[in-house]
Amino acid sequence: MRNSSHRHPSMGSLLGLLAVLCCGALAWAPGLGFAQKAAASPSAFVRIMHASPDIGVADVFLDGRRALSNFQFGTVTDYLAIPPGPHKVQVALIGKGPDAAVITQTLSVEPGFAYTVAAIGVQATGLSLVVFKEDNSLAAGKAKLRFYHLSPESGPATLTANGTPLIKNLQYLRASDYTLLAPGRYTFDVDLEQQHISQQTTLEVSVNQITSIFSIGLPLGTPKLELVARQVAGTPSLPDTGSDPGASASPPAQAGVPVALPLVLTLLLLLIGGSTTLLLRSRR
Amino acid sequence: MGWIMPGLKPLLWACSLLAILLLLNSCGSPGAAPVERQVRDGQPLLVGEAGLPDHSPRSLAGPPGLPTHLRIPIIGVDATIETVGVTASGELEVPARRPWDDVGWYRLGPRPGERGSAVIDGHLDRPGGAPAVFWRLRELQPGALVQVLDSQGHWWSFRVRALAYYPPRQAPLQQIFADTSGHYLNLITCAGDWIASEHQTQLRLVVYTTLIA
Repeated sequence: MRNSSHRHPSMGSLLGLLAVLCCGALAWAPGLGFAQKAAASPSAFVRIMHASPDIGVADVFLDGRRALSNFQFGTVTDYLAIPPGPHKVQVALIGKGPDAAVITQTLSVEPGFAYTVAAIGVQATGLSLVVFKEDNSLAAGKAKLRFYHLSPESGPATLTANGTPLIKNLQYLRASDYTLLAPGRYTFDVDLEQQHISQQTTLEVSVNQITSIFSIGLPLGTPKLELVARQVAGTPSLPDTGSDPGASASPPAQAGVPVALPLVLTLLLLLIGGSTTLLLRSRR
Repeated sequence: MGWIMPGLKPLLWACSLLAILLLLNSCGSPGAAPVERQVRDGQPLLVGEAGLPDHSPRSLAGPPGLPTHLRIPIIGVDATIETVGVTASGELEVPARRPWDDVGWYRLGPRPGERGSAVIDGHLDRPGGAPAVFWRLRELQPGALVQVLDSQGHWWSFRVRALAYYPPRQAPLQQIFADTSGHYLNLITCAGDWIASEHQTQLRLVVYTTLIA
């Protein structure tokens, strides 16, 4: 009995150790690691265009803080990363501060999306911000183009590429759908049919690129009608980096934890457990 | 089982249960991970985030050369970098030379170390389910070190900022490929269950990292 009572804690310790080893193996096995979770949000992406003939050089305030300074008519910023959600956007003449803003609007942006925000309009009909949600995903092997009609007092606009109508009768404050073009050099004309006025620009559009053409300015006044173009790289879709688990096996794994290792460990643990029970029975 | 001492029975049962669970895990789908089940209504799931300061490129090192080698010490990744572009259907290409062991740097974006979002992708697994180069990417935690060697012999070091799982058609592509607010390197691989009818996995994992040196 004394020997037996002496053995009991020893076997218990052995089995306890076995259980700990099992737990350790489980935690180590790929796919069962418990990642720490925390709240987080991707940014929204906003670029700002100055397209209002009646606003001079300006400052732009985001939630009361100056985000842009010396912002001039015809300028388009790069995409700026900002937190998603509602934001108070104010446009004021340079140096005047947000309390003297000529435009104050609250805009809401979604995480992960890209937007163009344009300051538009004339004093007579009102100044404001307009927002366009963008799709900067690339079209493989093609150039993508979008046309924005931001010229006040001009009626609908038609954009032609090398003399061929590309986007017809776009209304003021509207952006076209995205149009695909073969990469190359194009002369783009915007025709304001009601005003019998046109303006042109020549651009090289490249494969996988997104081109934005903004028509801004006044057909019969200053600043005069002009085309402003911006080009950004398109974004590809996410790759397919998985493989069919039912396909015939490839050569042995060399990266990461070999898939057979947990299996071998399991069999080893079962062997140890079985040996322990047999030992217990033989000594009983 | 009457021959076993009563106090030892529960331990043996627990041991057996854990061993069976381990056995099942080793035979299960290699792409499955428990956190991925929390994706709801197409919303991305972010797992962990660390606020890290962005660093400007080192003035002494100059602009980075072409990336040649990727190292992630904590998960044992030590891989050659190939250059990749886009497929005919507009997807980011995957490495072609040694598809299961190499990783692919997106050559139409910035280089690792430049301002913007450099992107490197790699396979999760091989046909049949054996691990590929990014098998253990999901084990990374915010703060983990990621290093890239460039063609000029400089190592560029990044720290993991966040991990996020997305359905492939709902990923924030602007954030992944075109965030120019800092110096980023984003790592991409597959995740989730294999969908045979679509011949792809259910999700993509993006590991966001920020340049530290």
